[in-house]
Amino acid sequence: MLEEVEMDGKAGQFSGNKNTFFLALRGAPAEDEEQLREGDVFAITEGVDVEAGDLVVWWTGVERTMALARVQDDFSFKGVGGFLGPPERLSAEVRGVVVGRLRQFEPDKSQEA
Amino acid sequence: MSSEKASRSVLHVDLDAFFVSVERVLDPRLCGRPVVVGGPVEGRGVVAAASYEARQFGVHSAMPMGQAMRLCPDLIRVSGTRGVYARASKAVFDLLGSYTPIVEKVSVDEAYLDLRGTEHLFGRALDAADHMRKEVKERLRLDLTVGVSRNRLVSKVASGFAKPHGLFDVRPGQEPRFFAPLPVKVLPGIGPVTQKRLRDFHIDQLGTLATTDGWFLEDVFGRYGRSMRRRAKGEDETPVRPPWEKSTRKSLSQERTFAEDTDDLQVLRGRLQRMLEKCCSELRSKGLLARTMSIKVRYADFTTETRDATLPRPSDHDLEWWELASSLLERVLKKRRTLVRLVGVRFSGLERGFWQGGLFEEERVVQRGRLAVMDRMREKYGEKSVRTGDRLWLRNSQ
Repeated sequence: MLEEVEMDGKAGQFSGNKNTFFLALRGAPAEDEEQLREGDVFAITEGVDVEAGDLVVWWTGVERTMALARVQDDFSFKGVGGFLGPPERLSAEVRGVVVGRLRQFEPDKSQEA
Repeated sequence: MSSEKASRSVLHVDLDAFFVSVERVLDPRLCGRPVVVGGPVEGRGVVAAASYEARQFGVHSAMPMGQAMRLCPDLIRVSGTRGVYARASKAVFDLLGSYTPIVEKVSVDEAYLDLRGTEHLFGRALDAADHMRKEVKERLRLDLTVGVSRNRLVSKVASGFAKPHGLFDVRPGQEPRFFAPLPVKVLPGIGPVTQKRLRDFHIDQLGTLATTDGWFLEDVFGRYGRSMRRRAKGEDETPVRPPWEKSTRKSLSQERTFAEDTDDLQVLRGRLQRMLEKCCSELRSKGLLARTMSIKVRYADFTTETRDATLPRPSDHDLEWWELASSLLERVLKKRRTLVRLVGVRFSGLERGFWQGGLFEEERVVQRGRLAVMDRMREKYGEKSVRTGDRLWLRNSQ
């Protein structure tokens, strides 16, 4: 699932704007060409036009329904990383477009005193 | 956009708190503690590098050591040894060089890598960056932060986001959106003065800068205005230059003071052309290409005017440069108030390489062949053995 997170440091500058926010990926995703990994944090911009090839977050207005999908050439949505594309019967909408991905690594504990 | 640009993957890699990290490899007891590398308080030393733990107390590099100690009483100071850092840096760069030959070292702890053509060996840029980071950690016990995108500028900003020990990957095509909410100060080259000037016009974010009219920015900031606007959209075509492509020379120039001040246009053009040809010939003989040319005109009253022009691709071709030089000279002389005392030409943005004509530039390619012949004739019979264009108007004394 995707969970909204606050970022600090330089990355926090990105979410200083009301149209931008971060979503963290919780749980192991399925392997595919998007190379998603548990813990990946996506930088999202909302309120922008969607183009073919964009990776987007869609939802039904409830946070737990947020999912990642790629916009196809015919502007249909294809789920990625094990997420489903929006089913026809649901009135899904685009929450925002993924502009980047942050992957942070834990410092090596074995070195710590 | 060309497919080459679309598929280009540029990494900006930065070793986290490099000097401190090396010291921690040498002495693991320093791990997890506030550490600085720098000179002693009594010697009026300054902080050369600070660990992230020390930075939390407000300690930063270039700060007087006395002030750092006051901010963080538990601070551990290490004198540091330059030779050790150089060896550690070399080990890291040797490892990075095994991923791609196109590595541009910016400093002891920072580099750009162009991963073009390495997909079959290491997978996509994100995979390669991930693997690289892990390998540096496992083999050298140093942390690497990586920014990934299609160009240097965006990758540099992205790595700043990922610090410490992280990786930030900007999706292709999303560069303007990534930049839009960021404060203008994150753009390399925008210092406090430019930042203040931009703030005067209520331009605080890159998105605002990117949508401000180019003519307005040019009016306020000169030539830099338009390039600033392009960069604010995340556009940057600067190539990653490995050491063998870099020139040790920064520029090449020629200038001539006339024995008598003159306003004879043919003499001025002739002299300029002669100097330009000499510079281009030198570029060719050294296997260099130039990106930018400046011409200089000094009047009898010692007022000096210069004009710059940049070609879309670097060149050593006399005729490509002469077309530009000729129009620049014309523009300068339009404002002429008095006789001319000196003219000069300067080539900068030098890089290693050889001129290559485009598919539909048959004439230019033929001209380039003639230039090579002229170079050989001049080498054998002297510089004045072949004269071209306006140089015919020059007397031997000019």
